[in-house]
Amino acid sequence: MQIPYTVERRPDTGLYNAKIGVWLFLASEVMLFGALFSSYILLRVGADPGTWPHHWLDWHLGGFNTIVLITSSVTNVLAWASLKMNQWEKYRTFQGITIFCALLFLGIKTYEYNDKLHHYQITLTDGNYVDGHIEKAESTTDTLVVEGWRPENHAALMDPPPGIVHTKIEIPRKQIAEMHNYGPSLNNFTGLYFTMTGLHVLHIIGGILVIYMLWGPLNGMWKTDPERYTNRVEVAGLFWCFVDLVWIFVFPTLYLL
Amino acid sequence: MSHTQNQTKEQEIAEVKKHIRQHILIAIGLVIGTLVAIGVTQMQFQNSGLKIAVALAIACTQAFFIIAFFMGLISEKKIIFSFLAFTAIFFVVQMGVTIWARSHDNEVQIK
Amino acid sequence: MQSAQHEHTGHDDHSGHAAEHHEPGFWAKYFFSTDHKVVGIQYGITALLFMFFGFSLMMIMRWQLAYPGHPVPILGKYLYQLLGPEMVGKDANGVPGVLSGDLYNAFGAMHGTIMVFLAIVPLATGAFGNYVMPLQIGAPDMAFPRLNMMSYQFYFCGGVIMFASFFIPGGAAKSGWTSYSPLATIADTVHHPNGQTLWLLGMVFLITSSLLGSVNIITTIIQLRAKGLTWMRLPFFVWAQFVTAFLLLLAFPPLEAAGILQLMDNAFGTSFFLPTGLVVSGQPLHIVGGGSPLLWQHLFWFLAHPEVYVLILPALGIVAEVVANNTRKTLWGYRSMVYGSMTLGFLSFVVWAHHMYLTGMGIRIATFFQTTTMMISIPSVIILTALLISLWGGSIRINTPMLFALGFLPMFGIGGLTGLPLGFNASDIQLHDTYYVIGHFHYVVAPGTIFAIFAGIYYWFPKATGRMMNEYWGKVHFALSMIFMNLIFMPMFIQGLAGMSRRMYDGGVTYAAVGGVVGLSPFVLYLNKIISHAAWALGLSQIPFIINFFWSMTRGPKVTSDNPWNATTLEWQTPTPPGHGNFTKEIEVFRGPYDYSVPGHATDFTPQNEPGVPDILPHANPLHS
Repeated sequence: MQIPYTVERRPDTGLYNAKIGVWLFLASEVMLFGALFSSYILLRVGADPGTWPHHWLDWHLGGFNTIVLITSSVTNVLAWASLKMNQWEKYRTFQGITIFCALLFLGIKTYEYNDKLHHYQITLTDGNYVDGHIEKAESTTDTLVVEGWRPENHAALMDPPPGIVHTKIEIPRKQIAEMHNYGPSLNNFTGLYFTMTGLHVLHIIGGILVIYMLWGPLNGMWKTDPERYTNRVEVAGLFWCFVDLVWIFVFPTLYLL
Repeated sequence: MSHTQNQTKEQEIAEVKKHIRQHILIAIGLVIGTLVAIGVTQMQFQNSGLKIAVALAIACTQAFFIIAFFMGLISEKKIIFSFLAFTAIFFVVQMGVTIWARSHDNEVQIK
Repeated sequence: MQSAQHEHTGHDDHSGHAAEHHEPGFWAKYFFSTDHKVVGIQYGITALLFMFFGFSLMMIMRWQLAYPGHPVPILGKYLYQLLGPEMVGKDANGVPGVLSGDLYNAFGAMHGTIMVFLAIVPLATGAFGNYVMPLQIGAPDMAFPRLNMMSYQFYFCGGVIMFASFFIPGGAAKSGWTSYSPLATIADTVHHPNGQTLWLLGMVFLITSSLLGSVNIITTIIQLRAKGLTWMRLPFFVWAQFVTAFLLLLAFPPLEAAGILQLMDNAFGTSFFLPTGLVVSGQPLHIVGGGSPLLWQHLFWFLAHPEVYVLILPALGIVAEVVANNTRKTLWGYRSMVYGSMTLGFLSFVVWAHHMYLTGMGIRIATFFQTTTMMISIPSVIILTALLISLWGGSIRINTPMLFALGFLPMFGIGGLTGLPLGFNASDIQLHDTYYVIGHFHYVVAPGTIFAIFAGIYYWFPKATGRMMNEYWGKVHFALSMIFMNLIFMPMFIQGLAGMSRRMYDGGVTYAAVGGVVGLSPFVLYLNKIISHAAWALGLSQIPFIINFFWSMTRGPKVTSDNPWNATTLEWQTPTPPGHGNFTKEIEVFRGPYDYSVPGHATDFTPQNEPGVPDILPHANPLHS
């Protein structure tokens, strides 16, 4: 029993089933990420003045990641185009680059998350702040050694001025009132950063798994049903371009503005 | 890439070849867009609203190119446009009304 | 349901492929099948089980409301043993079985969640949508059979997670099916993970299931219609499923986003929905603040309003089929119904904040939503009116499906009309969060959608099993259900107008008008007893149905034809029950869905795939002279 229009296009719509399926799915994804963006806007607009941070994320890494994803998008489309032109080896190369770029993105993201989770905001008993990474090796039971800087006030903490120099700061532990890492619970900005990029990362992982499986273990279908295989690559590619599209908005929203 | 039934395999391949150069140019354009966005937002702006508008305008332009060309929507069938049109409307409603609701939080209601 | 397992029906032309038709094992056949009929039945049985469970929760809650402080009879001590002394208290004599406030709230939240997400929607779309729709469009299966199987499996997992949440320390979620923040985060700060976390996790699975299902339904309807089956020749049931699937596709994701954010609040210490300065039990909560409880409400209701149209549209679809069939005439206003359902679907996305009139969101916004809410009553009325007018001049056959369909009409009317005072901002001030609201929405879903679902079960049972359900007991089931549904929900309007709030675990005794204090009158409180007894009677009234359902599967009278109701739509053109691939002949459609009593035709029904004169104007048809 064959399901019609799995590969051949239905005359009145001009489409094969999976094409419609994936665009419907992407429509729902637009609503998903859209709701997160609207939450971001609402929480930011509604935040009390001076409580929303700026320039807490490194645009160098974010920018590089953006270029990495753009590259992976174009190599993904070129991979599909190669299949359409019956050039198997070219497909393997281009799609291999796509997968490599995805892994690079994930690597950089892991580095960023790790950095944030080890970056601390320390409030001293006298109300002053210290901000930086803990030097575990040099810290003792009485003294915490931090590689960082001393923000003048809360405003400087929220909006770090450019050109900060990091120095080694020794803090007697008795003077520490509170210590919190730059994790999701620090404030709504970091919360949204981790949630939005975290959901995006899950989509990258899902997408690259599908692309990898098609490229590697399940590529036998190219020999038995090349048109169907090409369609699968196309559909996976549409998802991948969408994942890039989300990042195109995530990057300026979180990193630049 | 249009997918009319009447196209032969050769015609399809020729179309695809034509588009490869286009894709590469668009990719370069996207990268430039990203760099411009970074540059613009690192500058000091009087009006933060303007900064946001510029950054989002660049992002929307990049998005347009990805959707239209990388995802092929510019030559896609009508029915797909119709889903996306409804999605766009509901997206705007969801975002717009939710934010509209918030911005009136501290107002005196009876005028 | 031996339906899909007769793989050899209609496969005579595959004699050369014997190797592909090995009999699948038990697990492959019944649990890992990709056949839409098997998936539909899986959804149906699982959903009916959840409906039974959700109903039982309510029956226990109703005891508390009728007899506050008294231990639940029979079940009381088991509840105590199962759930412990924190959840279940003892009365003055030390008899265990009094629901604590927390347990009542948990039952209430889960009753709502289970009924909406685990029972009604899976029945309406997963069971009926999956089973009937491909048959009605002449398709061999859904567009993505494996995705279909997966969507059931996600639903099942979500259900198991929800069910399991009752048995973890702290018990199930107890912040309403609406899960409002900050209550949802602060209701249980002791246990991690707690019932609320599992609720959120369960919802993620259910939303995923729904998403996969909607993609499948929409693609199938667009791509797999048989030759000649144009859009305006589709049975209204299929249109209803189509619009419903779009609602699920586009409305659920914001709730998924909100669910993720609330999960972050609960498990990772964020404050997306927790405002600054929140004080709980006299202690300021140690959170960073800056969040917005209203944001949760907006995102939740953005889904939950279209969700109620998801609950009603498939029911309208079922009723349309049964009415057309049992009046022996075409539906009046088919086009209006189709455009009405599309308008309904569209408008359902822009009315959500009528659930939020009392949040202080502002007069301009309230007015906007009030306007759209009034507008949305128009297509609903159009559809209901079309169904009512369809009865006029019909040759009405009274059988069990038709009784439930007829019963549906006034019940949905009451439900819809009682929504009007709720849709107006001003009158809603009095009625919001009272029993009036409970009466209103239950009328639409309980004697509304559930009656339509019963109609559908009695109607399509012969196609799925090859046997008819018992007519006499079907009528008994209908009569008793009709009486008790009204006895349960009509008094709630009175209670609501008198000011009785929702979610009070003692039935309002705290607010009784005693000693000159203004409050709930003894009559209003007495109504609790009437409602509760009616609810238990309604439960008992389902017994004939349950017995009828299972007994008839193997011992009901066998059908004498593939089309026992003499219906026109394509699902009756398959063998009974349909085999794998459904149709044994090529299907081409030549006419509209309800060619009943066409002048000049020999029989009072002409199936859609009957060739001959097209469905423009009736004139003598030489084919059947």
